[in-house]
Amino acid sequence: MILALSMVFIPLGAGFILLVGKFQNENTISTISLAAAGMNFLVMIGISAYWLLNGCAPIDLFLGPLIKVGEYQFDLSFQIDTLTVTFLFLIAFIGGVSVKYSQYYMHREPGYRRFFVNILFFLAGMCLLALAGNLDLLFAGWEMVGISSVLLIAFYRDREQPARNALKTYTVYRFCDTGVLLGAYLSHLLWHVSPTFSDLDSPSLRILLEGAGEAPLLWLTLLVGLAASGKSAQFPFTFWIPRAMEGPTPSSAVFYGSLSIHAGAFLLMRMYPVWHASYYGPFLIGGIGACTAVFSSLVGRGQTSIKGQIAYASSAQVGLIFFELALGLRGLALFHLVCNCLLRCFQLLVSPSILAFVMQSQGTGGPGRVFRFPWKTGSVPAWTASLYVFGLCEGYVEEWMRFFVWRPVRRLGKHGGNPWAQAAWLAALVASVAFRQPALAGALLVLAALFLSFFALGFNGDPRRPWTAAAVSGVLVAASIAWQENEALWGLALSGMNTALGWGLGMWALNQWSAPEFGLDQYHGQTRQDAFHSSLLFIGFLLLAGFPIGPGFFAEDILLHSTVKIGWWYTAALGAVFVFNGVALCRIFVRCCFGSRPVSSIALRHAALSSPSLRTH
Amino acid sequence: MPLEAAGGSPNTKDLFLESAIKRICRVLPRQGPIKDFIALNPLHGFGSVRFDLAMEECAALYGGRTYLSWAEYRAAVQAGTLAERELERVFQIRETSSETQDQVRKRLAHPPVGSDETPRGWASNGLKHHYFRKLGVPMDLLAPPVFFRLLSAYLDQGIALRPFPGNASLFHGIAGLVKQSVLPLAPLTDKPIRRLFEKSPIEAMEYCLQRIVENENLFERYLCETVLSHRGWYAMVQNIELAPNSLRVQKSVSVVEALALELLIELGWLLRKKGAAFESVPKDFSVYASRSDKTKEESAIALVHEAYEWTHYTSVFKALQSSRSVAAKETKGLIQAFFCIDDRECSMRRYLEEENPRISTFGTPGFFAMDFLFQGLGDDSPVKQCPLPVTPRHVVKEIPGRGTSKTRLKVAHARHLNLRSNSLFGGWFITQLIGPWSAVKLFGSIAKPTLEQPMLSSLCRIDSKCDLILFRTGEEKDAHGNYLGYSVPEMADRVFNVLAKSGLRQKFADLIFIVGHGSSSTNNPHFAAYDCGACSGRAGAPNARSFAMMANSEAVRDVLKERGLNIASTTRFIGAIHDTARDEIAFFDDQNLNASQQALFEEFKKSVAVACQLNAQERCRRFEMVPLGISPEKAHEEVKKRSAALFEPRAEFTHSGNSLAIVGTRKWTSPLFLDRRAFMQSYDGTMDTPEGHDLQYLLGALIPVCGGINLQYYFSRVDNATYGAGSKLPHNIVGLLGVSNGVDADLLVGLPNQMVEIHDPIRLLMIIEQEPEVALAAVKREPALFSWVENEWIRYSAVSPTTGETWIYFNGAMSKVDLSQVPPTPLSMSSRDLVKKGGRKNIPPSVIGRAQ
Repeated sequence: MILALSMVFIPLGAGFILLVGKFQNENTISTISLAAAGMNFLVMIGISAYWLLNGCAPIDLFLGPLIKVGEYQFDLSFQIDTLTVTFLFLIAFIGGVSVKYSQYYMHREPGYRRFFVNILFFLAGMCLLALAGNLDLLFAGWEMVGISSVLLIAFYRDREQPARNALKTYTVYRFCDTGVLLGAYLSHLLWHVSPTFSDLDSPSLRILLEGAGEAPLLWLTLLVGLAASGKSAQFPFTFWIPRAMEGPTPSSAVFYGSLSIHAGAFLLMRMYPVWHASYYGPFLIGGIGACTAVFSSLVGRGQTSIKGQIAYASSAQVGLIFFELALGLRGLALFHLVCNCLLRCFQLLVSPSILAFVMQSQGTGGPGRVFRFPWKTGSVPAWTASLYVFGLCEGYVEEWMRFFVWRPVRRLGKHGGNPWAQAAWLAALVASVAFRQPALAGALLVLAALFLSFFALGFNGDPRRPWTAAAVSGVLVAASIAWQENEALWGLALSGMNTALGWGLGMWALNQWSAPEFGLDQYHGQTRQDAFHSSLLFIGFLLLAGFPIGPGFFAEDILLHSTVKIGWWYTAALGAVFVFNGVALCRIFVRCCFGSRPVSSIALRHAALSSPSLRTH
Repeated sequence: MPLEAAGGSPNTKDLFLESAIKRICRVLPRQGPIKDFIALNPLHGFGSVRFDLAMEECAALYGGRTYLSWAEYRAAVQAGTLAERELERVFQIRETSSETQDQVRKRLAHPPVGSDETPRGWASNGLKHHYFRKLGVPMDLLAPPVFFRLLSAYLDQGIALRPFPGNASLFHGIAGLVKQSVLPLAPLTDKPIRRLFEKSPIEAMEYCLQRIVENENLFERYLCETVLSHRGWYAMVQNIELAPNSLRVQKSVSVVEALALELLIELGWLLRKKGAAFESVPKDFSVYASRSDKTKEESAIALVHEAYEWTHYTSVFKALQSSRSVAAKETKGLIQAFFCIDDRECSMRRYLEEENPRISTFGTPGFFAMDFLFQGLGDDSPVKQCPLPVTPRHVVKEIPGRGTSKTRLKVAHARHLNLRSNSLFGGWFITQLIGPWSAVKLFGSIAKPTLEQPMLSSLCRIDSKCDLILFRTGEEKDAHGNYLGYSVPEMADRVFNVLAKSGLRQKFADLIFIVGHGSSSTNNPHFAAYDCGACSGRAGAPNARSFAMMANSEAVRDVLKERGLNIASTTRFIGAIHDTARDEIAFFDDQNLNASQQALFEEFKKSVAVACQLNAQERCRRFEMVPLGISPEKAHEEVKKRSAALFEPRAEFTHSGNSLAIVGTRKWTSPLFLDRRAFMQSYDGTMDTPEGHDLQYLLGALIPVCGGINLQYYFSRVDNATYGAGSKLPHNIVGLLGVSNGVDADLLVGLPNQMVEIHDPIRLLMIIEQEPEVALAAVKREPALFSWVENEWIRYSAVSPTTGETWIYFNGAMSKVDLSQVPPTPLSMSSRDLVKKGGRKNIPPSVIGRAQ
């Protein structure tokens, strides 16, 4: 028990010490990190030994409910079984090695401390993910992994490209996080408790599973599949993984080469009994896996950068792991996972050597391989050209996503500003209240919340407006649920507290920077100018996004469980608001704090026609 | 501008565009594939403009800094590396008004707040930026990713598993794709753009310009900004256009084609986003410009920078004056060793001589006049092994000798880097086969870095068991018209040039070592920048070995005797290679020595062993992770570990600190401690012709090689984001061509921050031990070299061997330098003392007092 807790709290604590301690000395920072990684490794060995001594049987650790509201109960429970031990080994080993590696590699890099804080938080999140005994707890680890990923992609935060790619990754993560969130909800719905993962394997629950009927199980499979595909860069979310290769090489190796990208496969293994109980489940997961394997290797073959190659290769192998799982080969899948994890991590770490490798193996000089083509110049067969273009465009998935998701959302957000629409909405609200139609009123409130979210996502002007819109949108949903289900009052209260705090912190920071030209159409790089207020904005973002540091995290769960009695559309709306608000808030944070200062605030020089380069000398 | 004249027929327009592109290409650095990285002046296109004026231009074009920041100069004042007396001197030389003087002093005392804000130039804040912003089209996010992706896909040298289909040139290759593909390639497969691919590149480009820019006066400006903002890829394209053989997989590409492609992409996006009736660039685009005049500040900071340089220059002049007065004892050179002029050999030579006074050393460019292409065993084709300006006409090949196996090198990590593991089914097997093994490797590489890591060790560039095809009897040529090896007179020429022009015409020792150099590093895409610059970024082993073989040949010695170089039969040349990262020296062809030679050889090896350790110790003081006061043995272990460690981005600091090029006798410089900051060429002015022809010959290699290295370091240091490659840590290798940050990004030019962070940006000061008139005449005879001097891209000075006076080139003539105000040079007992007390920072020039 203590071992399991310390596995999470050692890196978390060390990260926190680094964060608060404001150490400047590299030695201190790396010593603390190394100590944490080393202790973590020992604890991992302890846990494994304990597990072995108990005859390798799954061990359940139940700490009791953390929070209990009505029927809803958030349990702290851990589980230790083969999967946990394997994953903990990977985390402790790769984590330890990468910390040691980075101790030298990151030397003199600005942001040395930030890097280690992020890595440690990431490791803590991974440990929590591996140890979690139920989906609720797993979700907390899942979120920690997500946010530290985003921060490490944007490690070089003075440039815009890493910031942009970090936001892109966060968007996918957030979208797929709903999978876990709603999955947890659905399992509550099915079994009226938060089942531990070991329960899932127990005979009594198996009967329940079989009795549950196909539809809810398929829904659960879909949600879990969604969550796993996002985290593991499976089709159709493959596009973010090469974009994520922006941070220092060891962080890319740990995150996208090994640990983070396999978190999705881990979730699938955890939920294996559930989605295998469904008739279509294995087909669905196997389909995703097979599709990704083919897709990623097709696209990856055309990648011209070494990290892009490895990224797609890793994604394709995880696709195969999904497929193996669908076939029921759990042992093979786990072995494959471990192998892929280690190999890709090492490949990424030695990726700068690819040039030396090619030169050594194929000589230093001129044309080594001249490709001979069976066709003549200019007449490339249509299928070859098309296949090549397909690879170049990375299968168009990003375009589709933009076209089918983001564009309509932004448009809707703009339409929400229509005064006629607003008037009609107000009239309907008044009418529904007057005629005592709480369901209609609730629906109207949810509609407003959705539009506010959409607005927050697409707005390019003063950041305070979308910030407020997102905050209000969250509270509106909570209010509309609470209106109909008194149990959710707790959720509303927590959510209100959380929102007030988060919104206030953010507004404090944003008010500091407010200026006519301070819009969201540009990056403002405030971390460099004003680190204090940037961190306030960051905390505000975490709170509003329901990150497990404030009451918002529980509020989210409580509200979700209250929707059971109201109807599925509330659940869907809550999920949508969760996604869009999260992305909108992250966008505000990234645009305000990352990137360099915009051009408009620097005087324009030498723009006149006389061109210096063309003067004849 | 001849724009008004260019209205008529399309032909003249094409000509106009072509010449405009030629002009524009001046802004591109000459940097090809990273495997052949050579340090060159990244702003060579501005070499015909005086340095300070060129800096103003570049600041406007590229944006970014061209000098250090005020805050850094302020720190230099406090550290004593920018002296008040030198500021006075600069004010006097540059005839600065008292008003400007006050301004400079005020700024220096109180650096302006926000002075670390780098200005932005055309590259990121020009006409294009404002035009697209006004239109509301985020072109920066739309066009470049497509452009980079197409270009890297086309030029890829072997990372992608699926090669670019067809073998047409860039523009026609893409045209073929666009024509044949049934899938869209946004925005090129849009109808209006697809049609444009039927035109020639230049016509397509012109059409796009007509549509987007409309105003012909702005065509050149628009193109220039396009090139500037993606100069990494354009530089690569230009380089491949000029030297197609620099690629392993041949590709046909030109700047015109690349520009046409990018403009088509831009036009395509504009049509998509704005429809056919989009607004073109306003005729008078100065509406965007709110001009602010910063030139005054620039000229002010140029003055401060000059004073900063002068502070260093005068301390060196003073030290050279003092070393003159120290009666250096004539060393009886029983062993002679030639090293490269490289600044890294500066300390190695010092330690060898300090350790064993019977050794005397010489400096000469590390290609040892071997102007050849070298094809090692297992190489596909020969590669150049001589400085950039030299065009090799000879090829030397390595062939298996006795006792060599066919497979030369065991390639470490082959299994792990094999790209086949990235395919689907191959990957399935390979992953599971070697996955667990990676864990062992991973752990091993952290716990105990060994040379097994994938790396280009300078020592394995050449195998001493192999033979070289060096001697040519007839007129044999290879397919490209290069001579296979050298004839005897040709060899004699080259040996003569190295020995005689370095001032070694008599008193040949029994053993003469020819030491080339290279550098071992791991996980380092910039490895070529660590090797010998005079060998075009390769290790100098083949050159050193070949030179020794030539100089040992009886026939060559006979010819040399006729030319006045009488080398006794007891003299033996031995080739060697110094690994500057690991501080190891390996020898070639060292068998069959006679007894006395063997004794000397053992003696030399012993001295080398000690010198290597001391040299490692001196280098270690610059590595922050290594404790100060480390013992020489431990230091040697440390540098070896560094070169092999995967996680070490700083195997060595290469040329960091370089600021001097001293051309003179070793007697003159040997009592000096110059802290590895000087390129040193041996030259004896008394043996030269009265017109200085030998000097002229030497400058031919020295100025471009040393000047190029110096300026590359200068610019990468003053603004690493603009002229350098940024931090090494996130680098991603693209197409085996170069590095970028992430995917779909511009290639990075220049040097990474980890190579230049301890460098002090100071223009090269060349010091010639010769009468000022002779020195000036020698350089003036070569207009290309004189341009460097005249425009102050290097500073050129002479110290008269007769009077000891110091002269420096300024405004068309040599003028005398007054050193009376300069504090005397500190004296020290030995290098070791200085290193021990030196801390981490640069050590000012000192005289080592052992001669007294």
